[in-house]
Amino acid sequence: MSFRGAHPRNVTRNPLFRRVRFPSVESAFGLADSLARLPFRPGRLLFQGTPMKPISVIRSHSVVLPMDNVDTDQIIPARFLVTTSRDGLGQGLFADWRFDAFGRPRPDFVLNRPEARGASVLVAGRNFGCGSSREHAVWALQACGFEAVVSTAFADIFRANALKNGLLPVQVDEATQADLSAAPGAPVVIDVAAGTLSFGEQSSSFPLEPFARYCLLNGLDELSFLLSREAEITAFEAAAGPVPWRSS
Amino acid sequence: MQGHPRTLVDKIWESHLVSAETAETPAVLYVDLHLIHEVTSPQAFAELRARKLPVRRAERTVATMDHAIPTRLGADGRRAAAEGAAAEQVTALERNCRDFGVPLYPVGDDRQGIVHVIGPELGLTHPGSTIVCGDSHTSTHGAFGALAFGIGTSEVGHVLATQCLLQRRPKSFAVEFSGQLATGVTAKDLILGLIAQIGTAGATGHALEYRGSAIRSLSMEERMTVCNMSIEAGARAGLVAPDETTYEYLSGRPFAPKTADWEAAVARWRKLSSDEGGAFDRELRVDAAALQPMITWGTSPGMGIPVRGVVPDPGGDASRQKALCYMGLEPGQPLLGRKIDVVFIGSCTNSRLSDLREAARVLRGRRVAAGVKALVVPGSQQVKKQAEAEGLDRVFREAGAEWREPGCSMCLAMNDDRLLPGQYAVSTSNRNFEGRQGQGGRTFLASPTTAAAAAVKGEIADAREMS
Repeated sequence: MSFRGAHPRNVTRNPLFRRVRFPSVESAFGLADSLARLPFRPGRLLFQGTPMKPISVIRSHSVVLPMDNVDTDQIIPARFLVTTSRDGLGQGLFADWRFDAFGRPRPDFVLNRPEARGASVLVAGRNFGCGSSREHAVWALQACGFEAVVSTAFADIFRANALKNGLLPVQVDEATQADLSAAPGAPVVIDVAAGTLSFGEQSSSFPLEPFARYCLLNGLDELSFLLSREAEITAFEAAAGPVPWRSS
Repeated sequence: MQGHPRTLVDKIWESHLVSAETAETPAVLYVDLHLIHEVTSPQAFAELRARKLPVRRAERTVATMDHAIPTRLGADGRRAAAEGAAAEQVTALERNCRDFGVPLYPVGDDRQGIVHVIGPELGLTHPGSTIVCGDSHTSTHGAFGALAFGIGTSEVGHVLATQCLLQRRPKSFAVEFSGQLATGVTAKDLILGLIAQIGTAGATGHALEYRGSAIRSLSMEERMTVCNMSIEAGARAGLVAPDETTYEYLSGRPFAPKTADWEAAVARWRKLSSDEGGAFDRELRVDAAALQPMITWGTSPGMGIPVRGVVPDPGGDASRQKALCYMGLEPGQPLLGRKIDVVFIGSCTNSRLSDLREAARVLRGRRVAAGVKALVVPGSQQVKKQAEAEGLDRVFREAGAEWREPGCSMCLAMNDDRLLPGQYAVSTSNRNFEGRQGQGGRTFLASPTTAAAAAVKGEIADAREMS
């Protein structure tokens, strides 16, 4: 079974613009095994989710974009948002940095260098993803093969959007960020369950909201969890009464 | 609940909990009002269709078109139609609203407008409510003491399907503006001043609560300008506790409670203020009287200086060096007197009637400088109608500015209102990011008065010298 049009989480690790490959539902949904390993109460958290590719370990060399405050308008300019699809957004990724006015790749931009090929870990400066709520920024990063972004801080909406699509926001301290930035292309291992990023001799931990970690490891999505709370939502609505406005 | 003092955000948060957060799971937070538009909703509706889910509470959902639509008039004197992919977004929103029963104020409707302008003006934005939209400037609605924040498209799908979101409670950050703004200093200057002080990540993870005498003196439209740019300080939400100014604004609006319901609602809303001694995670006091008219010099909203200031030295900061290079500026230069090409007066930050009045006050009897293109884009059809009733459109037209149809327009350049590469603009919008207003375009963010003064002078000017 294939599910074309499913979440871009299923993008394979690859260089810019490679097409998406969709795994089978069965292989993407190893729920029972993973649940057994988790410190949660399964009876409380088990819910039937839309299958997404579970993410446990990311291994890649890094590409370093040494800029602070990379905003979502840089990640994908607004002119690329004129679409009704989640797909095909890779061309817009960092478009005004990657390409000149004639659409030619700028050879000096980090993502255009040969050593960036195949990288799925982007190491950026401080405050990554500030600005607009456009989830297209996450979809564009994933369309170009990125599975994790490393920064000292992430804007709140970007972080939420990333986690909902299986793009891992890895928040590290200034020293780790500086060391990573000084070693572009370094092989990096990110362990989702342990919450650690390792490279060379170093290892540092990063925060990850427990529920998001659970969803990532098990390939589950939040909507399925919310849908499983139907009875509680209905009870809340009954207590709250009708909408407080009337059209006139 | 009783006993310990609670903040405004605590009170709204606790009254909207379907289930409280635990160490393992976020809270399930009920959403009172969901605003949608053509750009961030189509993929969410596609998700609903794929899973065969209905919109759970269509009556709590309101749609309009604002981001991608043209604001210029066509040859027939009517608003030009969206073309290409933008037309597809408009058509998709019409189809989705029809199929899922969501109320829509489309182009051509006299309630159409920028989503954060029409919510308040229709009286949909209620104190104490939770409001979300697939747009980061949803924080605007916090001006009414609502917990309002921007969400991504996946979350738009969650709210459409369940009327709920999974959320962790934000930390609280109180900013007290003491004293009063000086004459000629506006709400836009107040918020640009704050962002320059705390930075664009200064309130990340927090909900801001704006307090103090200077905030109490602001009109609702001014409070909306302040709350609008909370996201530029990194805060998903920014709130002002409701007061008489709030109730006076809402009273009689189409979706405001009526008669006995109104009295009951106001009684409820009066209890929303943060309790004395309410514990905020962070607090900051700003002397409002010391604030000056502000303008940004760089490519981040935090790069702001007083309009009479000079471009700062970037030191070894690579981002600031890059910003200076992109803007074509040198450290130590004054911005005053710098030639500009375009003036944009509009956006969810500054496109309301009071903003247009301020701009018109400067432009009345004057001309836009030769070689400068000035765009005035009202925030909604209602704003446009009121402005025209007051003759503001004539003031703008006689000055040589273009008077447009409502929409987001050049704030984010999704339609054909764009800066050309290299052009300089003074803009009343909220973001000066590289290319935000058009590829290669360079933006100075400022208030409507400063923007109007720049239009007249053809260069960055201090509006206080022109009144």
